[in-house]
Amino acid sequence: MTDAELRRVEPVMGTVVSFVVHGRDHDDGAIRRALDDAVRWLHEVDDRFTTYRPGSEWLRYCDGELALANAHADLRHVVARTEELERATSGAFRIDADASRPPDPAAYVKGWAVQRAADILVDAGATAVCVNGGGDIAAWRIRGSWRVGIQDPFDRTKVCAVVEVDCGAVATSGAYERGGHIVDPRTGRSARGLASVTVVGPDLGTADAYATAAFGLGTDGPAFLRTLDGYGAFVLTDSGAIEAIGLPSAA
Amino acid sequence: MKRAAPAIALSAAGLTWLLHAQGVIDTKPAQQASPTDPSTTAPAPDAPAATSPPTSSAPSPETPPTTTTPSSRNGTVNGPVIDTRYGPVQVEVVLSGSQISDVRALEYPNEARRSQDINAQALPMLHDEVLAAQSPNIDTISGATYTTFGYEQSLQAALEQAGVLRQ
Repeated sequence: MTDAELRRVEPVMGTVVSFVVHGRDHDDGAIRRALDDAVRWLHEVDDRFTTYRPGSEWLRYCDGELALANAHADLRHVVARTEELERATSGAFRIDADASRPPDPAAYVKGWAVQRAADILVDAGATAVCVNGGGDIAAWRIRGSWRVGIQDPFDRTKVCAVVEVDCGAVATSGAYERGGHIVDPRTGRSARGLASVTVVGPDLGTADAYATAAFGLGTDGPAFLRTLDGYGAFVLTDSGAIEAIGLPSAA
Repeated sequence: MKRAAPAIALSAAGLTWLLHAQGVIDTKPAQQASPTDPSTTAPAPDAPAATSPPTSSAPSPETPPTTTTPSSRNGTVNGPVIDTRYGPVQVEVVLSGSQISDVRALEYPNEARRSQDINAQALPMLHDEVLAAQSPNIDTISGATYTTFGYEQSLQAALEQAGVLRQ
């Protein structure tokens, strides 16, 4: 393979986003510029949607200081899409599931932002793109596949499965994520029953939201995952049982 | 939106899924699935040899310092400083050839007792995770852990920058 490889890591959105990008030599300048654009985009999203810094556009919207009609198009997109996901999942996905915090769209926004960062690089002519935002991945290749290891939640020295992705997204939610703050939207309490949920499919924002929703539902998560169209899942329960959903075996 | 059905195959390392989802980015050509042998679809190792000169030495004001090509695998790679609620943390990965020989904390919060507990637990755990990350033919890892502690974030970044997740 004669393609040049660029790597970059960027602390943003409360995590680290890493890029691996392949491009043809004559596209090198365009891809470097696209990488800068993608990183700039992630910081723009972080600034707009953070719930950790007072005065962000998102918090002003939540406080009623900023009318939706006057908000940036990206904020209007996130509001519309998260409402759509709430309806489509019958409330399994909710940005206000945790009543102790302001509504937090991060479970959709992070994946959406990382997916769009990957799309920027694909549009710039990259031949292979893998963007990992804190364990959630958007990947694309003209030839071959990226091999994405799924961390074993019971033994973090191991990878419990490998997903090969040529064009798609992989999102994982687990009890160990951000101090276990994923809550069951029906009870408001910490989710129980599952050790980790990995969702694979075409779009990372959607996959991320589905993984968070299924994890929050606990033992009802697999039933929810079976209703999804176009998205597969890999579930590990607290007892160590493995269930693959919506991914027909090639054997 | 049209999506091809993903397929699963088993490999020695465990379940291997072959995901051929299409639709979001539909400019790519149709894939020929070869699901029975994952090794045939694994990306070819294309990291340059360790003897090739570092391309980052070329002066380019537009090039951020964190953009690298994985040209050298000896020495140390530092992860970025990650701010946590306990204070800033940063790890350093020591490379020997294509193997990681050590992971050290360069900066860590040591005032609160809680922080010391984290330090005592996190670093041995990271050693183990690093071993997992050196699994052959894995490009990246999906998991919920990288947001738990700044250590893992800094380490993940250092590993990816060093190219050790891709051998």
